[in-house]
Amino acid sequence: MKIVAVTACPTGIAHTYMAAEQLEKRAKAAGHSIRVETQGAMGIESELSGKEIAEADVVIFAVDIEVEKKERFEGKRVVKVGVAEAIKNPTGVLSKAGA
Amino acid sequence: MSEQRLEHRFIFALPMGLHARPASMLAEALCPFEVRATLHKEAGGSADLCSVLSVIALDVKHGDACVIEVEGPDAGEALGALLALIEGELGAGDEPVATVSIGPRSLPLSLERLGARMVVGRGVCGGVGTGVCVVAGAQGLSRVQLVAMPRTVAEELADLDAAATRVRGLLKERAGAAASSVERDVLGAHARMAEDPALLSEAARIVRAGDSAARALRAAAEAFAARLAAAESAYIRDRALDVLDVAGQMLAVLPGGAADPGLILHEDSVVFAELLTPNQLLRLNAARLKGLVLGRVGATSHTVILARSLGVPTVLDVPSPATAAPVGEPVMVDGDTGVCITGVTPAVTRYFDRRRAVELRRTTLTAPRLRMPAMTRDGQRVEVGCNASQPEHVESAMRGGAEGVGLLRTEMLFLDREEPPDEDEQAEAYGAAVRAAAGRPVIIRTFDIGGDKPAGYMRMAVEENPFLGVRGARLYARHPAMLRTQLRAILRASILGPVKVMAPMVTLAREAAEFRAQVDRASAQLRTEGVDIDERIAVGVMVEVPALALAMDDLCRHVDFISVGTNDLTQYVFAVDRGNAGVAALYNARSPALLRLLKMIVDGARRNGRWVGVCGEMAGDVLNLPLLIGLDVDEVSVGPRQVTPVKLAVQGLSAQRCRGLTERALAAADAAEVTALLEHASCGGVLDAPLLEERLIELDVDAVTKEEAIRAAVDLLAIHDRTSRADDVERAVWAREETYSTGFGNGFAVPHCKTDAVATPTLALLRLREAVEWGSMDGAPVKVVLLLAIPASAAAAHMQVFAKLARRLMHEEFRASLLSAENAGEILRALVQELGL
Repeated sequence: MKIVAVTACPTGIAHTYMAAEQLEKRAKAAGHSIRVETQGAMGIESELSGKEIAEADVVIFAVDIEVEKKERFEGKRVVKVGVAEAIKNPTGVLSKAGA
Repeated sequence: MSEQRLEHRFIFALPMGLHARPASMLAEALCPFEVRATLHKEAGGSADLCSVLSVIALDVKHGDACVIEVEGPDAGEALGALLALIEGELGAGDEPVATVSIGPRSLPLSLERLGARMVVGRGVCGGVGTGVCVVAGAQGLSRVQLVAMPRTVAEELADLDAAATRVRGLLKERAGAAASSVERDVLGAHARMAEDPALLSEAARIVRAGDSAARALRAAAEAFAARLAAAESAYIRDRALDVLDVAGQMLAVLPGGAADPGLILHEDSVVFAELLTPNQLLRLNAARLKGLVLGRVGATSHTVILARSLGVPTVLDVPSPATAAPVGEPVMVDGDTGVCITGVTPAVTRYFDRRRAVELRRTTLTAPRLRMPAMTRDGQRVEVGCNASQPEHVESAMRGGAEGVGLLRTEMLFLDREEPPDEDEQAEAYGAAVRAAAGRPVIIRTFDIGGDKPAGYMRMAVEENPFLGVRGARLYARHPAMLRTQLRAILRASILGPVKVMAPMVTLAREAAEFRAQVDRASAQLRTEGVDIDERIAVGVMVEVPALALAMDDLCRHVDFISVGTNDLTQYVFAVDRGNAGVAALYNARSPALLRLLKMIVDGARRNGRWVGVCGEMAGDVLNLPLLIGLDVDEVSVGPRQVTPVKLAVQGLSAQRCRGLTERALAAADAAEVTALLEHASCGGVLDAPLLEERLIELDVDAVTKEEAIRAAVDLLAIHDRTSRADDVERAVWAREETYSTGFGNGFAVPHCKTDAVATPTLALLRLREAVEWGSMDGAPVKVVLLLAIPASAAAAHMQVFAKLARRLMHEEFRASLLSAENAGEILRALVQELGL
């Protein structure tokens, strides 16, 4: 399964990256392909390309704040959870996304 | 002799208004004359100039239009004397009283979150004191028993007079035996109030109207206190307490009056009172007085000034202090924060114990650095001296790490008196300062009188523009005897330690040569008298006039050293009186124009092999240090309180980088550009500290709550100079913590914040002795705390490290290595390896 995700927390120093790491780790362990864009204090990093988004089966937003450039995901199936949930229970978040 | 009536209108110019000191000077100036002098304020009100109290109560402020009216046979001379005073000496040394007022502000969160019972006020004297609550009743006027005894008016008047004389005598006696100069000044001021003609004549008037001396005195004092209390100036309002204090003491010695027994402190105590007079405070056993919690006492009152000199933690503006705590119960006063804890719990004790321990660690860490010479990291020596005018300041500066006295001012000895001080008095004063410097060099500046600080006996003409007039060394040709006496006194002090002598306000190299000749003459004279002196005393001048700065080669032929007075130099370079709000914005020591002139001065001194110091305010601002180091000065001399921060800052800087920055500053367009350079360029100081150091990792930390753990991490930053605003960092961390817990599970937490309370991105790691409840995502208590603090404007590169750390923490092996590491070094290695630092 192809997954793309965006993580973003209020200060953008720690939890954004923790959530990204957790999702990447679990998805890969389960044999999925995943790309995570982080929106933290350094702005958007590892930005998802239009192609990556178009090819994805599902989009995961693990965010506590508004996603930047949200229009890129219009028409996609989006599963939205809090950052904490992605850190605490990435497996649960992935299964919510159907993975 | 003919009766005369003269008037003179003027604008009152003292910044603090017409308060007790100038009012007493005016009253004293009138003593020799047979006149009646009245001060009228054009906005309304008049006062007898002989009554200090009435004059103060008139509440004359800076800029008020006033008229002096003098009547009597000596009117002409008396008015002349008053005007000379008003235009000259009256304002000497009149600086706003330091009202070190801490708060009201928000409490440190680790204190607030204790939820202890406390009263919050305004801290005015720092420190923490513990004692039992003792409540002091109002002194005084209402409590003193007024026993009615049948007496005649004449008897009552005699009683009143006797009481005034008695109290005045007692106060003068106590002033003579005072433990400190602050105490002496307060008691002296009170003695003058006890002979105030307006107070006594008002009381006498009431007696003549048929009342007892006691009731008359009380009514007169209360009326004066009420007038003072209604003044617009807080400083004058704060004098109301003094009137009540003095009148209370007079009431106590009247027949039938009962002396206030005063409070006896049987054990370590904290005194709670709505009002506490200076006399009440002085009568307390200072050894057992551990704190003051007061209500309506002003921050500039003598009570607070005395408390500060005694080092008693003091909190003001506390509502109803008399009922704030149960009498006899232990309380803690925190004068730094401005609170009094009335319900002391074990957690409160832990809080203050920890704070004390942190303070101790900080001072223990800096103490060895303060004993070392000030030298940049790459080995450039920059002496850090202090500016002082009293031996006490010298002493405190030496404790703070000063390596000498770069400027000992002497004019204070010459002001506020009828005659200049004689040679013995001066020799003793300079000797005391030299002894206080304990073998370190002392640069004594000869009297810098004139302009802003004239002395009456020098009969100086009133000048249109005193800052450009006869001042400093320009006076010496007119007062050769005064200079000779001072030089002899300085030379006599020169055998007690390394003394140098320096002249102020020199314009031409020739004046420096003349000054040196005077020193040589005084020195030869003392030698022929057989007096022991340092015959090779170094002679220097202050460079504060641009003309002299442009004649360095000539100047250096006549002097051994120079000291740059940047305050006056800046004023003269920009033609700006910095006290004049209309042009003050032009005055800026960071301006490239001034820096270029400084460079000429330092280069000139260097070229001629002369030592060069900087003693203006510019040197006391830590931000300016890279410039002075880059210019290659030998010494910076700063206020006693600035010595420690300046010395520590010098030790952190790289002289090489300072030189690079200075080159850019010299080429900058304006002061704003220089300021921006200083704020952003890195000169190797605190701004270059690494993200992580071994000393920012601590194991086995004793914390029993999340609050304590966060505070311990923040304190670690404060101990190692990563922040000077620990409370703000703590607040920012808690603000983040409120959104959701940073305990991400498995016994780990990453509290973090973005705040300009830290200068550089910083990581601290604590491993706690016992895990504490954190409200973590998995509910588990936290054992390892990683505090991430970054400035609001941190560069992305630094945040990359934090991002990487956050990701790595999701891996169990990494967490396990942090949990099992044996020591801080091992943790540091694990972090460095994992983060690729």
